[in-house]
Amino acid sequence: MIVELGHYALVLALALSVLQTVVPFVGARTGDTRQMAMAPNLAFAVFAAIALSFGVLTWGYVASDFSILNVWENSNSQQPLLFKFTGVWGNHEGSMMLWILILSLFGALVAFFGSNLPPSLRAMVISVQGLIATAFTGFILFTSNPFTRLSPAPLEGQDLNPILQDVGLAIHPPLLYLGYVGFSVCFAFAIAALVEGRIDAAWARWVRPWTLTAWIFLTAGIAMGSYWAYYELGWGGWWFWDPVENASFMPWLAGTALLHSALVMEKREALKVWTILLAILAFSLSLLGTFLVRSGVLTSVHAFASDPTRGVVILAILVFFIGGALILFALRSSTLSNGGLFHPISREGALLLNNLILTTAAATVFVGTLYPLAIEALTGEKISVGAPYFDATFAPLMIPLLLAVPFGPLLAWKRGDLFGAAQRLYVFAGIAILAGLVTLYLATGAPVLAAIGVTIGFWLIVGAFAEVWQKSGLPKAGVRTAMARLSGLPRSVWGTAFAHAGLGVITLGIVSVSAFQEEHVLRMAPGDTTDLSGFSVLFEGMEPRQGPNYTENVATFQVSRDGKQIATINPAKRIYTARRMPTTEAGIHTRGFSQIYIALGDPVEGSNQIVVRLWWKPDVTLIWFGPILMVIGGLFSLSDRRLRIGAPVPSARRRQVLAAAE
Amino acid sequence: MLFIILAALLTIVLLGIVFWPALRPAEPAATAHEHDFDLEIYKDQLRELDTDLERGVINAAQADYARAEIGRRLLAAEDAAQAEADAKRTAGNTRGPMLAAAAAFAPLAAVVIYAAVGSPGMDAQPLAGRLQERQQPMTAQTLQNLDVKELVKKAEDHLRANPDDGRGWDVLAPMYLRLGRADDARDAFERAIAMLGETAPRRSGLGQAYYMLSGGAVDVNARSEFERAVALDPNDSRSRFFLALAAAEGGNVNGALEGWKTLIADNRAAPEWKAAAQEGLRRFGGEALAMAPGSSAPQLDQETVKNVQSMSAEDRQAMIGNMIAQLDARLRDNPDDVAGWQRLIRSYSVLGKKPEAEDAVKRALEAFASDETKHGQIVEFAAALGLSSGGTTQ
Repeated sequence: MIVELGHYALVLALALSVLQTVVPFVGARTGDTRQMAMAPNLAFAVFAAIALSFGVLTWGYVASDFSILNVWENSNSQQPLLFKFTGVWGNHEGSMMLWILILSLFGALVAFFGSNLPPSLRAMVISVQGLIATAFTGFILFTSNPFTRLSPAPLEGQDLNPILQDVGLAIHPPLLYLGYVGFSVCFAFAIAALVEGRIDAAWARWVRPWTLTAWIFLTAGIAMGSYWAYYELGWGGWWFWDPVENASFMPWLAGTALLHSALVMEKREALKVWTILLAILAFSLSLLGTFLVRSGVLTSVHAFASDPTRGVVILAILVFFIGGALILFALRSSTLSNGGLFHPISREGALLLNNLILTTAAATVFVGTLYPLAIEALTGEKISVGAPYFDATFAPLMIPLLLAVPFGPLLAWKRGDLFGAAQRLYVFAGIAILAGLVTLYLATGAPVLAAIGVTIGFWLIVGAFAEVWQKSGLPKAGVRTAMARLSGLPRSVWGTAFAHAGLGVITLGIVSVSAFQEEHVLRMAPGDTTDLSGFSVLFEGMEPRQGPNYTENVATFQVSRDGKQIATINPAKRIYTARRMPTTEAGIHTRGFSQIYIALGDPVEGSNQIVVRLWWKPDVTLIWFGPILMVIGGLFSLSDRRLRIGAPVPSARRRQVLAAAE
Repeated sequence: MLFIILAALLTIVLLGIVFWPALRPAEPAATAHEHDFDLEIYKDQLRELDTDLERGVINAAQADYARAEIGRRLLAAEDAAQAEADAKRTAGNTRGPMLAAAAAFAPLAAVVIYAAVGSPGMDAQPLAGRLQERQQPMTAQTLQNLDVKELVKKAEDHLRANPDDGRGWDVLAPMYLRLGRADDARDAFERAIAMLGETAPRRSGLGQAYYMLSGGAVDVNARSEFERAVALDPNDSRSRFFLALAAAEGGNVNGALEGWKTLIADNRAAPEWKAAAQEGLRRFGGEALAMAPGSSAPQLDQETVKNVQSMSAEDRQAMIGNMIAQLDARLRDNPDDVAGWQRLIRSYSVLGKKPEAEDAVKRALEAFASDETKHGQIVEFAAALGLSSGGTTQ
């Protein structure tokens, strides 16, 4: 009965989502305050119903209720408790449930924190959220119902895909979805603004916390996914330009652009149309990501199940939302007034440059991801666009952006002064140096590129704190004044500094790993020793072990340096009993920011040797520390008091307060 | 019923939350105008500007630029707010019919859709509950058995009147198995095979009956039945499960595990035997690979085991001896049965009665003297058991 109650709650959520779409919309268009006042409560009710439904499904997993088809297909009573929980979203139906849970959570959050929004704007935003919820809840109920029953219940379930049996699954999808779906709020704000026909500086400020929230989660989710792939897949890579990774990266690029252009809109009322377009694009790319991953167009770890109907329905949803939004945009954007003017050398100019590069980068990734699909659909020919394409297109785009990042916060709004012009010269100087070094590299083959990369990385880190340094007045002002000034700085300044420094840290990590990593693939028998970047690695042997729902062969490697034992590394090959599926568990030892990474290959037939892959990955963890810094920066910005402006006092007292403020 | 009440309660509570603001009297005084919200933002920007200037974050000229710009926005919003206040949009003009329609729509749509996709009568079946069910024979299982007993009684009455109804025996035999009446099951399966011919399910059912009779071991009789069943239908799940069990009991644990794993991986296999194979894996896999945490005691055919265990050792021995004697007698009447001979030979050899076994080999070879293939089969079979074939091949 409890299961059916969850099922009913999901159906009720669909019905309430329809109301959430219609009632606030009608209210906002007709100025009916009562209907507008129902909007927040509708959002709460839909969230409550979906949360109940999701809770019941989770209960089904934890209690191993195999009378639920979805639980039987993706769980097993022998699984550790954590994976019974995470198994809920380790499959198509459950992950869609997580998607709408987060969607309705954001709807409820907008309703909860939205008291500082004009009622009609809030009602419109909630209505658009309701439309998205209707589409996806309907999709779940009619094509991917997680509550389909199975009777009699089988004794044992089929187990969760072993690759997904990892703590990563507990963290990566929820973070990623919080990011993806978070952009739905920006999207809803954009649609609401277009329908209402008023887009101003205030709008940009209201959207900003939601963009930031989504961006923080997406950043963390992508970084987490990258680390997960790094240690779980056993290939030693941290980013594969896999279409699924790209699907999460495109909204990130668009979202980052949105974050910056909204800043211009808030301060200067410029770039309005562009900002609205970016808000639509960020969520459209999130939807596209969902489509690519969920439709089965791509075959990967993420495509849990391929079912053509689902693909078609998701495609229809995609076309409806993206197409509808863009048509609305085309119809309405011409009515928007132009904002403030600015010189090319100014904060606005720098942010515009940022936007141009980021959107071009997103377009590059878009082409690289969809072109092979299009070719396959048209000609049936399979081509693969891999790292070489992205290295040749994405990387060169990023270099000018990375060089320019530190300048941005230093430039004044509207028009930069002489100082700014001087900085422009520095850019040219930088380009010149770069060109010189490239020539040198081509001529002599010295590792100049690595040197350039490291230089850019440090330039970003140091440059990120230039604004903070400048504003502290050091060294002219005393330490005390400086400290006072620093503590008085708006938190968003610190946020910018940390996020930009994080970018530099990532750059350092990437350059270091690409240029200096060492890789060995060799056959080793127990007792063999090999050298790896000055370490001596001894293969002691293999032994079988029994896990809760798998058996594994664990190898033991002793790492030593100059005769001193440093670490024991235990990579393993596992076989998950229920699915008879083998997986590779990499063994990783972290030293400072660097790592030794060992993965096992296949045993060599007819001998006691096994293929072993060893890597020395210098500073590799910086790649994931960078995003952590970015997230910290985002949190700083989010806590800035500017984003917590209260609702206006009732109009009777408006004039007095205004007088007092002036 | 409880489900309907809870579902209705959920609907009412959520609708209550949703419609609460519409039911309350509107408070026009508390509602600010749209543009007041904009003013709030611009005023805050001005305040921010002042503090920035104080801190020296921006210089006076920059501050003036910014102040002028924000001031322009502020004035524009002021005007808009004033115009809005003058227009005095009528608030709270509740549209009764529309709200009523909305209130009716949600539960109606929910019920219609749920009726289409839901399974309202179906209970949750968490693992803990299912295990309890299996371990408490006094509850659900007893009830189920009562039903089966009723059916069995009817079938028995029918067959007493019509003992030649092969289909009747065919239906009755699996019920006996389920009730743990192994000897009746064996008898019924044998009659069904005699009257309707052999099929994989009948052979493997007979094998299971022998398995139960032997006290929960795959003895020679059971084994030969399972082998016969697999020969008839290589996909027969029950036989595949028991043959793997036989391998495990014979010490070939790896072979057994392999057999169970392929059974589990096979989509066509019957779920209950897949489940049994899972149990087998857990039991023997755990033993072979040392302590599987949380591995439970084997749950194979508890009732059968209980049933046979309740027999005295003498009874069991007598019963087995009786069965072999029957088989022996049957082969004397009808010697053209390779599987039968093999079963007999193996039974004797397993019981340690070597002379009888060799005698059976000899009689079998005599019976197949004119048939090269079958003769060869018996010779090979005897050799595999380490029995002499009476000089025929030497």
